[in-house]
Amino acid sequence: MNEVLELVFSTSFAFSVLRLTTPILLAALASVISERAGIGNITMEGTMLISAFMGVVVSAYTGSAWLGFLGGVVIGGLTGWLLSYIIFKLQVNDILAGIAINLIGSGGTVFLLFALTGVRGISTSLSSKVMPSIDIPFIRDIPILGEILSGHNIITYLSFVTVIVIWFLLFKTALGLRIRSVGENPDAAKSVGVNVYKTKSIALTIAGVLSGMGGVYMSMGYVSWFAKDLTAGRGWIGIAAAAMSGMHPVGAMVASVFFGIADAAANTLQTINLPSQLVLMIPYVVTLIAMCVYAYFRLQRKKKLARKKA
Amino acid sequence: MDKLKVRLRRPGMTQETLEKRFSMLRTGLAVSIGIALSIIIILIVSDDPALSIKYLLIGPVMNLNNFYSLFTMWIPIVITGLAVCIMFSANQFNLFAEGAFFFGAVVASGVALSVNLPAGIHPVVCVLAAAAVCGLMGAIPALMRHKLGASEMVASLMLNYAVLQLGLFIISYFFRDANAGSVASRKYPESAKLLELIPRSNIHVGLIVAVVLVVLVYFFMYHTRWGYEIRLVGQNEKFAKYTGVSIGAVTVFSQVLGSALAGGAGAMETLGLYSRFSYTSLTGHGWDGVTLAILAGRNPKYIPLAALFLAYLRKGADLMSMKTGMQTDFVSIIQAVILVFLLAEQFLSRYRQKKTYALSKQLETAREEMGG
Repeated sequence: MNEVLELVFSTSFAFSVLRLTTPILLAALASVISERAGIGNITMEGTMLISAFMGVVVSAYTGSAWLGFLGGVVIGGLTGWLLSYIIFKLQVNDILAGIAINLIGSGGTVFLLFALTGVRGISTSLSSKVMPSIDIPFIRDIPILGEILSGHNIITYLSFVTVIVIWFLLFKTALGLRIRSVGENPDAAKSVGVNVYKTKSIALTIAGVLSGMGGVYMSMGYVSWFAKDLTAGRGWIGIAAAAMSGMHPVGAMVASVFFGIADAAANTLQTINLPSQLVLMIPYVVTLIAMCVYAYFRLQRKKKLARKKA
Repeated sequence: MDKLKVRLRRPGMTQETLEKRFSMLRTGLAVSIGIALSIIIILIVSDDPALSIKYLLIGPVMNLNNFYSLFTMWIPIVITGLAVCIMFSANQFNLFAEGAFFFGAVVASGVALSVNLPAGIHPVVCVLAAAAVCGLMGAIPALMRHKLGASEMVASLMLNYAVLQLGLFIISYFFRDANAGSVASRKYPESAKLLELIPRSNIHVGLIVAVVLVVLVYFFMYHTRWGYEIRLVGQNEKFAKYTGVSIGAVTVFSQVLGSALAGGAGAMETLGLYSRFSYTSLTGHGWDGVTLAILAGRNPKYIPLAALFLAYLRKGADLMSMKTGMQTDFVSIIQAVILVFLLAEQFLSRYRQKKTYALSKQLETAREEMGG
């Protein structure tokens, strides 16, 4: 038991929490902005895979990590836009459209990888680049805190900055007001001259960009290759985190850190003598339990409100 | 005008048959677009496009063995298709079929290796145990949705990942064959294996089970009260509630039933085709079930046909990859494209409007003529 405590209360554990929170947080933010625009967007998992793949391919062929990042983010945005086209122009149910995009994400990337490299399932034959890690001056010299906060991949820092950006976008800009209004009442928004389709389409494109960043992080930060099902359900965990956030970027950050801890615990406990499969179950089981707890309290609150009204 | 009357007298030229024809046309077109797209992809990617296309299109019927294995692939996806059909009919997007299929195989392996029973009964017990366990697990997302209002879809996906690890744990800690190179269970006893219908074809008794299940599920969904209530809840939950249907019981039941079917399918797959449990990841059969349920318009009647199409495409792609080195994963792109076109309300909508308009005109003139 001491051994476990030592592992959990170490700086490297806290460091890995932030490392593992990054993709979940970005997916959660994507879900928050989609839900605010009134769309059930479930494509984070697929979009992350598409962007992770694109990042690896572009960086390998251009030799530039930043171009790879750009490529991944752009394809993520395009995927978001494609989703909005399928949902609104072709009028497909949003969940089923999401299932189709996720199919493309999981199977399509593996296929394209093979078409490009002739190798099945993993991209190690491509010499792809990795996004740089950054040592933050001053902070890195603070004893414990420096070890935890400094030296992360640049996308990790970007993801936490994005929380503020998305908060600002949603609550302090005209576009954010439009996004929230089409989500809450599209007819009212329409009546005051808001272009509903365009607004929702923008929201989904932004969501795609965010998922795209998460995807690029997975293949060019977390690890340095693309592999089949690289994201391992993190897009879905992000959706669960968003569902618990009250659809607020800061709430999404808190929930994501919570899941990041679960993920890091799984990684850390693997080093001691526990069955690895049971340890790998932790993030998913924790998510299930957290979903129940959150939903339970939300229900209680609703009941209380209803009683007050009566 | 005479011609028109003849047409009208033809039985069933009503709005309903027009709708039916229209959805057939749409399905046909969506599938054709999918096939055309696969051919385009092959033309771009393959080194030997002619040979690749040949194997994709007629490979599965080129010899008897390929034809047999078409049905080997058909059996599990028909059952998962039915499973998803039942769950989606109640408008519950429970995607646990994928996890249930895997865990059903785990449970069946566990029972097969730890219980001694005579040959006829052993596999039946294995499959039923798998169905029972997976059915109960399928109740988890269902209850989370019904009791707490959490998303059954996200819950079912988390459950998929969780049962994958749980299953691998069970196999590697209790049933592992130390002599096998990778993580695999010990070999199944002969008594637990499913009966092979045609010698050396890999077609097992599951074929008959699948056919019977299609009939049963169709009958259940369209000719029993429970099935009617499931569909009613799916079409209009509020209306169902006001007519006195117990929403909770119906939605939970539909997901338990669906998960149980998927679990049983996984059990039959592993006992029918393999000599030991050797899966290391989720198998994709549940996701195929989702495709099939949509392709069949959530009607169990059309699942076998849709499954045959998907199995044909898969087998064709497999053969192609064996003979020419093309990858098979492009089938999922085709699947996605077909789904989008199939589900797109706007696709062909102008054509549909035109036809509906023409029909109503026809009916009007006919009525006038009869009256005058």
